[in-house]
Amino acid sequence: MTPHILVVEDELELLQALRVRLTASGFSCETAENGKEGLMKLSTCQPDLIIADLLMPEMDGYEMCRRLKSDARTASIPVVVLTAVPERGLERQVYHLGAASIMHKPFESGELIATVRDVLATTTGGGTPNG
Amino acid sequence: MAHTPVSVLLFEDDEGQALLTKEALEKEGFTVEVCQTGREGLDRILTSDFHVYLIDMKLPDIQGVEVLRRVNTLKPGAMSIIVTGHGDEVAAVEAMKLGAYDYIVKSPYMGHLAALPLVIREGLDRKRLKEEHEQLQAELWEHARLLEERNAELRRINEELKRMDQLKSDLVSMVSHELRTPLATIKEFTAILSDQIAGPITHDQQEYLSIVKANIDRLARIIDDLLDMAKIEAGRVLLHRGFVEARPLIDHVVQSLRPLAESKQIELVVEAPKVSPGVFADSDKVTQVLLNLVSNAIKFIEGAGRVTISVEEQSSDVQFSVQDTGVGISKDDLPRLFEKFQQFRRMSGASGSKGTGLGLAISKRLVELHGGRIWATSEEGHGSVFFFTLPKYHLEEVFREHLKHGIEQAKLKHSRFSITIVSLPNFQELKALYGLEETSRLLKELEVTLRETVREGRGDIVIRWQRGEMVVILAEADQAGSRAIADRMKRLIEGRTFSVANVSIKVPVVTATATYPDEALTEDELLKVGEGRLRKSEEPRTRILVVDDEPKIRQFLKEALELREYEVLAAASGPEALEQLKSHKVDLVLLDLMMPVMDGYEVYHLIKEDPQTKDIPVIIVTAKGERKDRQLGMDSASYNYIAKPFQLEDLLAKVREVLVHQHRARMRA
Repeated sequence: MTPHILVVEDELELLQALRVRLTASGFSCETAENGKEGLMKLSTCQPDLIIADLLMPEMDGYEMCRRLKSDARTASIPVVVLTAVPERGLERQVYHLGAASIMHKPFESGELIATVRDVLATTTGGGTPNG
Repeated sequence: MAHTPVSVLLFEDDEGQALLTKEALEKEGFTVEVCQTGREGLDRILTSDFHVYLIDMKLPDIQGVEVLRRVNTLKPGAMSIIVTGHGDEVAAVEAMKLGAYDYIVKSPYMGHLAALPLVIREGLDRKRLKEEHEQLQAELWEHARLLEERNAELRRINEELKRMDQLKSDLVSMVSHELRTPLATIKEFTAILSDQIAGPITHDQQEYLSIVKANIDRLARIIDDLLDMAKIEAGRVLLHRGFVEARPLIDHVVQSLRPLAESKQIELVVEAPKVSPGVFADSDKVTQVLLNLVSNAIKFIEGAGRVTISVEEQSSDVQFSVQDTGVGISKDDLPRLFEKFQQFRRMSGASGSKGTGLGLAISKRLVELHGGRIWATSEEGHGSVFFFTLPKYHLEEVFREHLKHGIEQAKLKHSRFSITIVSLPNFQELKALYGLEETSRLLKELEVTLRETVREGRGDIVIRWQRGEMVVILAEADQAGSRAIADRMKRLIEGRTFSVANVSIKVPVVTATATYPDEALTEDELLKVGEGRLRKSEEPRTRILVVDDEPKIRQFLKEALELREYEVLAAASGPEALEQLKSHKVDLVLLDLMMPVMDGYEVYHLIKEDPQTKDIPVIIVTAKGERKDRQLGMDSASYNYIAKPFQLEDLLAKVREVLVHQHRARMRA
């Protein structure tokens, strides 16, 4: 089965690039433009993993993480944070939110895909796509 | 003034007096003009200045005092001297208050005229001194004012600079965030093209895209470096220093740069002693410096070559060096090497491998933040050597640093907390017996054991390696609370065995606590209070047996006495108390009278009858009205009592008094 990924990112062109990249790597992809929209998407689809930016309008990534981690239906979905916030000490804070991994912009796409596969492998016990 | 004659305007209506005065003064070199009425004199003043105004108090038209007032108004700072009749001194004093310089009393035979020149001269001298003094004072004030103005200006500039610095650093972090976001989009679409996800591309297109990618990466590095530099310059880089062993750090750097080096046929060599020295440093920052120096070295080698990274312990610090077989640096460039935005020639390879112009400047600042130095030597065509030093690792220094950090954190989060010192009294023997490595491991294991009692987020443990001590910082614990936890820690450690060099041993510990802010405010003070208690607890302590059937009172007395460094045993009944006395050496008994099974009277007698215990002082704790000396069959001088309900301080005073008394008695015996 193709793993399903929700990407939450307010930079629409980057969102488009991520969709192209993930699709080409064998994932199916759903997108949202901010945290609020991300949570709304979660009520209709059950992704295997979420890639989320931190600083977004309406609802930022921190708040979105907090909410989905406190909801039993969504708490188990792993989150990979993708951020341009230049603080090196951010890792700890992000893991505290319950994120599975963090990547800094600009990122290497190879590294992002590898991270997504790693996280999927550890949380679902296999089920990595070919690609 | 000796050359210009002193001019005097004399207000005097009596012609004879005026004449005599004029003569007397002119003989002494004064020039004198006389006016017979106040009006005439005041008119004269409008057109001329005089050095001295000599004013008779009694003028026909205007009172002398009024003349004086007008003279002072017309000629501010003028010197006026009042001439007054005998018996009119009160008016003269009044005139002085109005600003007259002096007064002279007319004598019946004109004797005062002889004194007049002197009075005038003296007055003039005083006036001159006063003026000079005033001028100096004014100059001084002016200086002070200018100084204050300049200080204010400096303060303002300083504030402004600070604000600009903050602004700059905020701006840089904001800009770097704003730059990274579009950069991520550019990079990702470039990668999508180059990975041919959007369709096949030609070989040339592939090459051009790799140049784009290299430059995107370079731009990202520049953003990183700019941000680093801004943070350093704003003083916002905090070092998280600890023990860092040099060798693994170097190996890590070599490992991450090996692919780059191998692609250029450059050999990376590490020269370090088997037991590599330890430094007191922030390992992330040292890694950053080494990565920078080694990647620079690789960059400056044209063709095949070698980079040698070595570390060497010196008397006061540890010296690292990175030597390359590259093109070297010209003499002109050497002095400017560590300045910002210095790009030096001979950059080979793709444009993407170019530096950011900040690497060495950042390295210099990072090394200096550690209290080290950085420098380079080079010979053009024969490569370069970069050196930097870092302070050696001092165990006690590290402990202090960590403790300080822990306590600062605790202060931020909690209004009250305690430190508990858990100390191994025979640590030095253990070290001698089992070696440093094994004892260090033991300390680590003790720390793990202690962590069980320190809940997550509510405490911190700092190991004092040199002394075999652990300082536990406990959140929201008051004196009694931390003491209870310290006891639990002691039981926890002493209740199990530890394996050291394959030997199972018991580890006795002593504990002491200090509470913020009740007992001390700074980490030094807290440590001092704790250590003071630790020393005391290593000495044999005074042991008190508390006998009371009421659990609450027993517990209260136990806690109160333990806070005062007494060791406390407790018994809930008479028989239990006697049992305790058999198995422990006790220095004092606090005895409740009204107890079931065996009351206090009986316990008292049994204590006093047993030769083993008869010398132990007893304080009877009893409710008012219960005291029955006769029933005790004792004279009141030989025992002590305190009535319930008692003030804690009274009880403690009684305990001290009895112990001191006992001590003296023993000394006499």
